[in-house]
Amino acid sequence: MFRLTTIRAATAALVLIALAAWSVHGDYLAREITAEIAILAILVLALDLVAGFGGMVSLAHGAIMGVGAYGYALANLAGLPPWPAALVGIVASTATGGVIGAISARLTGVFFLMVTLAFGQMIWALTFRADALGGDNGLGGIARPALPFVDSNDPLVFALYALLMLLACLLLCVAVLRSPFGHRFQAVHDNPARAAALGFAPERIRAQGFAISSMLAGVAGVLAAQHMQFVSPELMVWTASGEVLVVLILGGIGSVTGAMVGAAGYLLLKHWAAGWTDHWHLAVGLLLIAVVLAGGRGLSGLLERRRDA
Amino acid sequence: MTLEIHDLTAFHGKVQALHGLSLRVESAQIHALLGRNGAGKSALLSRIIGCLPDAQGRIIWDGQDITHWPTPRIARAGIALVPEAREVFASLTVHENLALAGRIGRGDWTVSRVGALFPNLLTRLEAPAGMLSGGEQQMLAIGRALMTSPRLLLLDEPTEGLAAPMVTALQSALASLKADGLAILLVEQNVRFAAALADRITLVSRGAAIWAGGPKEFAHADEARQRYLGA
Repeated sequence: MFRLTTIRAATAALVLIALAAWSVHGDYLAREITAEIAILAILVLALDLVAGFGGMVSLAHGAIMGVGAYGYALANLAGLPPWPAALVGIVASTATGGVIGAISARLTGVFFLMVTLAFGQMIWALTFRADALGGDNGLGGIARPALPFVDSNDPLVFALYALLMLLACLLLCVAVLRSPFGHRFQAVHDNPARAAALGFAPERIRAQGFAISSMLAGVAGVLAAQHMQFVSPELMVWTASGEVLVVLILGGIGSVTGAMVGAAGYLLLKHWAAGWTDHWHLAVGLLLIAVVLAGGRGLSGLLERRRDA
Repeated sequence: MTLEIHDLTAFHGKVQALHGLSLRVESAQIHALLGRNGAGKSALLSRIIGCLPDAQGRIIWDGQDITHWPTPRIARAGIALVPEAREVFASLTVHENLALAGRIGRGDWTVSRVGALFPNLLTRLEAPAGMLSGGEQQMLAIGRALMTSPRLLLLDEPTEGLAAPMVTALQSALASLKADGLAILLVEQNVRFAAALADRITLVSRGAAIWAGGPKEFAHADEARQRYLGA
């Protein structure tokens, strides 16, 4: 069951408004960090959908996002305008996720984790070695989308555009969880044998959920390619997927809004701590330990509990 | 529609749970399976819905051999199981549990029809299913099975852990389902409850049917009752 409680809706609105205000009134760096937060939040949201509501903890999401980024880059470099190219990237991610999901949906727990890790590494290695994809040099010269009245090359415009995409993905995620499919997906997670005895095919439903999550990861990938105007295999290294998982736990798994809180908290902490030490990972690590020991519901969970108490 | 089971064997891991069991369940009939713990009653229900594979013997439902069908296909053919542990989807609401199952059936059952059968559920529709009492979860588990519009209902010890008023409510609910033409295969430890409802009773011991008859014969079958039920 997913409840869009008042506190969750308020948290999401607050984070979005705060980031928008920060980029309007802030400097260049504020706008770049805002775009980064929005992109990471979409990817974490994608992972929350499968990990938080389907029990499918994936280490392939970095690679799936990378497929979206490369799909956009290649289509755009081949001459396709940004919006159709974005569609290509998102379809590529969705298809990749559908295949990975179909093959690994019968596995659970650590076995599922390992198989997704293997798929992620495979995609990374193939990209790294493919000359047509620029190898480890990556691909540059990628266009940003054409927007009416404004120029997306302006950092402020791009930051607000990324926030708008985050809002769209958030609403889509809520709609999916509240749909009959979302209920089936959560039922299969709760009790696969019971769901089968009601006439549902658990593996098919899990694979479909993974494909939907990959679609969101594809949106994050397209935005990342548009933001950096450059893609490289860096995007797909398995530690990138691990980072997404860390941010999800930090923000609060299975809460939807935790993705935004986690992404904002993580990147702000990273930029702030990196300002005066190279060991910013230490700060993230300490915060992660504190959040997990405090109940494992993440930063957004702590907010909700304070309200309940 | 008829369920016919011929010489069924099945294994629970390495333990043989069924040793050539045969029985028959008809529409508008409650067939009670009685026996001690571990006699193979629950294993039979698991086997019917395809959760214990590698069986010998045959399960014929509505003229079709469903012995080796996958579970979702058996469910879609009109067979629904209410498991002993209820196993409602705890993270979904009562309404979501019911609506979910309703998308499989032919629409004979709606949430309001389940509510008419189990009025307690109507007041708890938006509650998470995991927060319900044991009795309410039992009602929900039965309601969820009914939402698939089954022709055969498999009930695994539905009275277990229920308070007396709930048992009475359940008894009248099952009687009305039977009157609607549903076939019911009822596994019970509560002999009095089962005997009051059943049209046919089969005693199971060590994975095989060792006595079968109507409720009147059962009332006089003192020796079989003593020997296989201790009652």
